[in-house]
Amino acid sequence: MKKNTSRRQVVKALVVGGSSFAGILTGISYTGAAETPETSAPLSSRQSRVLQFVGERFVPGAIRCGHVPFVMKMLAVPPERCLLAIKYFDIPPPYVDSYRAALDSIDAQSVRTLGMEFYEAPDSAQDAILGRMLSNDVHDWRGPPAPLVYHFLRLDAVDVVYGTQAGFAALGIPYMAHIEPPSL
Amino acid sequence: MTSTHCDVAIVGAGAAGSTLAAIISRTGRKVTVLEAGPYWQKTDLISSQIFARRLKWAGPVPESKGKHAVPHNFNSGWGVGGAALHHGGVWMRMQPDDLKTFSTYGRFVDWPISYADLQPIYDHVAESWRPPSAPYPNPPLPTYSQGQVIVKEFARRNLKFAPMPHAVLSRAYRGRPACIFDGWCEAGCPILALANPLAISVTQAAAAGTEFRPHAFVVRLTTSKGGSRVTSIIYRDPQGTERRLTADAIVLAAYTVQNSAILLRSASIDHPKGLANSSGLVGRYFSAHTMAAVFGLFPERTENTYGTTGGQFFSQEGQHKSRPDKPFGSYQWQIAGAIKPNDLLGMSTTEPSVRGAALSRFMQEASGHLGKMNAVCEGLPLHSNLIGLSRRRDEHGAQVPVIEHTLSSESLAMVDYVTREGLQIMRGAGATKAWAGQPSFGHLSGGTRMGDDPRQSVTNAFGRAHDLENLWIAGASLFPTNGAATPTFTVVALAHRTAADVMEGS
Repeated sequence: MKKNTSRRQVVKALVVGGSSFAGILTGISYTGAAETPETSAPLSSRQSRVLQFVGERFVPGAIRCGHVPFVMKMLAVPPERCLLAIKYFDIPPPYVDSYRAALDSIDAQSVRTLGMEFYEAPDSAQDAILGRMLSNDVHDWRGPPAPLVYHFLRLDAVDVVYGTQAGFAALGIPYMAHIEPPSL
Repeated sequence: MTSTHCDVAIVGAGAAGSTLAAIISRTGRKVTVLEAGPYWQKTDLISSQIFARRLKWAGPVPESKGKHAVPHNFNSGWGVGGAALHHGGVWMRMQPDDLKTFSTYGRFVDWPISYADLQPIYDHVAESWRPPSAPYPNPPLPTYSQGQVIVKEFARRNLKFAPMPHAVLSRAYRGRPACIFDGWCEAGCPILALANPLAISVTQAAAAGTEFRPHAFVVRLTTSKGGSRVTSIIYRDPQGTERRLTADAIVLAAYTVQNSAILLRSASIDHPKGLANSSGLVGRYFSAHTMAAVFGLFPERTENTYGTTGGQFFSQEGQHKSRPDKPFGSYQWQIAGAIKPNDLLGMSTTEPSVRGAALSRFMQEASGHLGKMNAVCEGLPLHSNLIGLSRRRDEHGAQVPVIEHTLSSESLAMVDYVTREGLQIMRGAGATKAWAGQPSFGHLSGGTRMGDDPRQSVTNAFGRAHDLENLWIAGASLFPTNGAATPTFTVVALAHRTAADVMEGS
């Protein structure tokens, strides 16, 4: 019961955040961001919710480190300025299409096998779905192949938790920047 | 259509293109370089694996197919400096037998040049700062625990190893500062301690008058009536407007995949199979190094974020291609490269199936105790591995490249061989846990191979197209075979030969 309460609180926080995506977009801090036009939210509330729980299931702390706002921000910029790892996987832009399809597919796996949305599923069931993505044991999958999706969604969560100066510090690693990165 | 003219037009501002520009511009010729991506400044090279992704290809995405698809975007560069802007600065020489696999082993094809042709250029490029036989002016790069822990097992097995050859300064030298061994090589080295193109060739070319045109995406080349000469380069400017650049001499020095794609897209009545393609071999014999990584967790603290990403040591015990105990081909170990927590080559990716709390625990342990080695395995050039064109067109209206790549059974056996050896070494070095990564591919080569026989190659020994009077090709796409050496040093050395030929021919 405590867990469900916590889950609802997280979802509420996300929805509040989702209503202010324009603010997030205008807050982009890396080079050239000022030229980025405001757009509507790249992901629906339901897709954002899946993304949030996927990120946290991959890497504890992803929510706290701004996983969803980071991905949202990057999906809203031109592909040339996108910093998401998806660009490594030779998937043609617009990347938002791949994210939408992938997140819908993850949610559909949950509904199909568990009878509930991904965010409602127990942690172990969410983890099992991610495991099946890696082994491509999925049904009615849309978008890029499930193992590729697994990798780029996992990389996103790792980026925000461990790929920053704070993340290095948490691991006890010296960052030693020549040029310090802007905040994500 | 707006048209401009120069003496020598170069497509691509990577290691090859910028080297050519630097050399040719010094003679007073008007050189223009077209580059698909932006003009990076050293202040753009942010120390972050996340921001470093800006240096990777961001143009139209090729289709990568085959049983062992080759990642394009990760390997290619984007912008002035090309892939060499994010390379690790490991500058290795091809070995004599790498260039003569047919005459030495009866396999595949010889290069039209020998090591004796390359050696003086290697010496000139890398060692012009010292007289022959004089000691090196700078001390070797430092080593750290990760390398020291692993190479003790090489020593125990009587496997030779040596400090990794790096184009990286160990101390301040000639106006450039020393490396601080922070492991940010692949994010681009803004202090220019690593000899990326911004440190050397781009700066030299710009100073000598080369005009770099960034955000210039080349669609195709056109030829004269009868088709004996290239007359112009058709490209799209940043606004998407089609423009024409004419030149007396034209050098294709784009990335391996783009070189073949541009030639194939330039098909015409006079060149129905594509430009420089009377042999039918443009795009063929595409290859890549197979990268087989092994990892270990050690009781010692490995200081694994220090050093350079290319590694502290290397071992070429696997250079002998036809050693009876292993499959055909060369391999070498790159030992103890610096590792960051995130990104495709980061700590987290060494264990992709680990998630949640287990990943948190793994990251804590890996950040203190992970060690790695990477086997760079020769890619065997097969006719069936190719760069072609898709029916799909990009935003410029150009057909996007298709890359087909499937490893032979020999190459697969090589991966098994080096993986077994690597795991034995890691365990012998004291790893409490050792495992292998998923093999990947890098150092793309071939597609416009050079040779003496126009029926069996695309260019001659200087990179000049057999079929056209004034077209040269540069870069790793010229490689008939790829050995197991990292390619940048050889790409630069070949560019020196090509530059001399361009100046003589134009």
